[in-house]
Amino acid sequence: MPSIKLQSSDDEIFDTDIQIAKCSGTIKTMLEDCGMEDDENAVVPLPNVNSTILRKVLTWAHYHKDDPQPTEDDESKEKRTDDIISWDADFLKVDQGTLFELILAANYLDIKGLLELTCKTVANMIKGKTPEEIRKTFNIKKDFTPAEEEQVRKENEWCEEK
Amino acid sequence: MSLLAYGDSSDTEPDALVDFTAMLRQRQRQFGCGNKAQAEQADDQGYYLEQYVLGVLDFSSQYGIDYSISYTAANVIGRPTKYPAYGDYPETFTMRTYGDWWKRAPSATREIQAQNLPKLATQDYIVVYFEEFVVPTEVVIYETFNPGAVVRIWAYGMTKHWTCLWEAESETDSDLARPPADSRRFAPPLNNTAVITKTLRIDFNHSRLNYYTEIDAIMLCGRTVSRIKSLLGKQQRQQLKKPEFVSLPVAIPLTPKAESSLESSPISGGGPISYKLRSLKFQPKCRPDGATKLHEFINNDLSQFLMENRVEGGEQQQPAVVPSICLTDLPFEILLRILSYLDLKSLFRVGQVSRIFYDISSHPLLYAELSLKPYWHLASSTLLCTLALRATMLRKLDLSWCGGLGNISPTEFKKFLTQRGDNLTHLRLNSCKFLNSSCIETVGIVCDNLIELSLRNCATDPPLLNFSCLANLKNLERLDLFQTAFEPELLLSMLEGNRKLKHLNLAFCGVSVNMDNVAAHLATYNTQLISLDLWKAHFLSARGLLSLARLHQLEELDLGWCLREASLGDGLFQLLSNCPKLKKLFLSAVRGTTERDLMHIAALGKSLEQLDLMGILNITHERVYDILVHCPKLQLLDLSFCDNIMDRDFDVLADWSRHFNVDIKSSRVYVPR
Repeated sequence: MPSIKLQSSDDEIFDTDIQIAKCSGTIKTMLEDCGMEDDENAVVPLPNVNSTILRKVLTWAHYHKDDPQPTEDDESKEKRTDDIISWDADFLKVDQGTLFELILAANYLDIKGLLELTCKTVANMIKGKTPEEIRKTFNIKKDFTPAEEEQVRKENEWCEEK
Repeated sequence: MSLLAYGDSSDTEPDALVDFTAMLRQRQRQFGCGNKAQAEQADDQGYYLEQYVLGVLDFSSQYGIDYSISYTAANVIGRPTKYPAYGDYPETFTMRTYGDWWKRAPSATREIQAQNLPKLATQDYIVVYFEEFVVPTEVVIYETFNPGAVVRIWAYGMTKHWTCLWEAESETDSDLARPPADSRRFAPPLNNTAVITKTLRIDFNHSRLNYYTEIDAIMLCGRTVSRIKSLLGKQQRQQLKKPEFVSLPVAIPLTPKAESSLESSPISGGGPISYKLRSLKFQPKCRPDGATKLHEFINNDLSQFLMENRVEGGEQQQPAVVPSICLTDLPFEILLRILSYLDLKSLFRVGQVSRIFYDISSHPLLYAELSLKPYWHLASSTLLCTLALRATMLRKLDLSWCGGLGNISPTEFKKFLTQRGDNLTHLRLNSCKFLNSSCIETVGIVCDNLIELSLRNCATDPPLLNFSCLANLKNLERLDLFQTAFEPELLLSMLEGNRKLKHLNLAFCGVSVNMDNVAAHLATYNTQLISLDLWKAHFLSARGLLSLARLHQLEELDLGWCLREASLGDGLFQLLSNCPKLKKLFLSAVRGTTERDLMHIAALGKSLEQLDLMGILNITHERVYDILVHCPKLQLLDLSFCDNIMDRDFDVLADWSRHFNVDIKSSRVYVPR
């Protein structure tokens, strides 16, 4: 199985199976456009991903290497969040910082499956919480003026049944 | 059907089906604070009452047709007639579908804004009313065939709000607890609410059921409230007008008069603070908006208060890890993507967090699809106003089940549609009780890009759907008029105007429509048709069937209870030869189906997945065998009430069912060997 070298932002080199690396749209394009596919010694620099995160990403990609390609048609998909498999759920039992960095990495590397999974996970952290609970969970400061707050409260009256 | 019963004008109703023998005096409960008014109120406490349904206000679907007495919603009225017997009885209320067969058929649709759906979504519902207002202690549903479909019980209170009295656990749990095939008196434990009601809504999800569920009766039990007290309670509530009030813990003693609304709450309820306050006989004087203020304080300012006063809660003792990056550091488009997975309620809540989240959460891209169906009890004109500001890119709208009690005015709906309807491709207004002819007119004028229009169950009394403006629509691919009356002429002109029509549902369309004419029109103008539902349609003859056989693209055809003549000619043969893609064919009670027709099905139904032969009297197990052998894709075969199939044959059929991996349905209660 041919492999390539990926270089993280902190200069760590990851010898990676080429098929696994190609689940990233970004890497796939780089390899194909620059004709690096046949070059055993080529190093792909990934200046936006550090080694900790890249290691996680590659672990995920390895587990999901046989997944069917996600379809482009984002719109026709039902936006459900209760379909996360347990391996993924365990994989994402990480601190918030790591989770957000994984999102950024998935976005930069263009890995649709991982981006979808991580965004769903954050959405599940928001669902069903009160505004104050959300602020507390994500360490966000309320910055409304009293007038704005009153306006927002009014718009939300309908959903405050419980 | 009258909306009167939602109100409190119980005096005007006819004789009740009140179970007087079952009336029991119940000892009055003592209220924790022990105030003096108690003794004086003793006579006013009301009595325990068990009552059966007095009338049906609304339902989403029924198996039978309105003027029939078989399998209709009206059969839930009164005492149980079949319970404790178990079996398929026409004297019960039965809904139109079961299992996931309709979801798997070619006509299946995708939910709009599916992230709003609860784990156990409601597929059907019925709204019933009773004679007397009570504070409910028990709701009993008599299930006499395939129990287990009830997922929620709602009560409409005197405050004019719906309160959920009970909700089923999530899907995985219910799977384990699927009830055995036996009749049952289903009385789940109710949430402790103080709602005063005589109107219930029962929500059903029958996706896990093996066959149709049947409901014999519904009983509402509870304590009556005296007239004076209920009026007092009502006044109190009107002053407060806040739905939160109802769910506040009992430990906040309001004025003694407000007790009437709280009296069913348990004495020992509440947490340690409640207990402490009770033991101190803490009884502050509250202004009318006290409850709201307190609620706001707890929601918004409590954490700040605790921080400033250095009160350390259990949770805060964990060292706060400040992550390297925060949620707010993520780029806008990623935050937008995250929020796109939220249900509408959570989306609104996250907008209350901070300015940036308000901005993102009101982004038009998040409102391209909008469904208030799961929020039917909360949808209001005000909400429509708010949404109109955000949904500038609206494509798909589902307002089904909304506005039943005047919460949405026709004017507000029209205003919304005029502002946001011009780009709509999908519009579902099933069971929308606020619709009048002027609303329909607006749909026709404004929404000329519609691909799908669904007006299921929009028949009201008197019939109001003058659809003439709908003739403007030219791009329809799906038209659903299930259980809705319409003008035959208009339908014909719509068929002529919408040549791309792929799915048409005219089930229960009443006696004014000559289906042979419709079939002829379809064959002429709508040759792209993929699915057609004519369940219980009238005036379809062998001639109409021959017209339908010219629709070569047909994948789904429901002719249940149509075609009442003795002979079908070679209509079925033509249909099967010309429509090789046919996946679903329902011939329920099409009594003219002959032995020869069944042989044609076996010979030609190569794509058939679902076949319903319910009530076809002359079918024998030999013909069934042919069909099983020759229709390789068959998954569902309904043989209920096929009288020629003997009891002994069913054992053979059970073996074939396993061997050919086909789900064979029968109303016969199967006793495993």
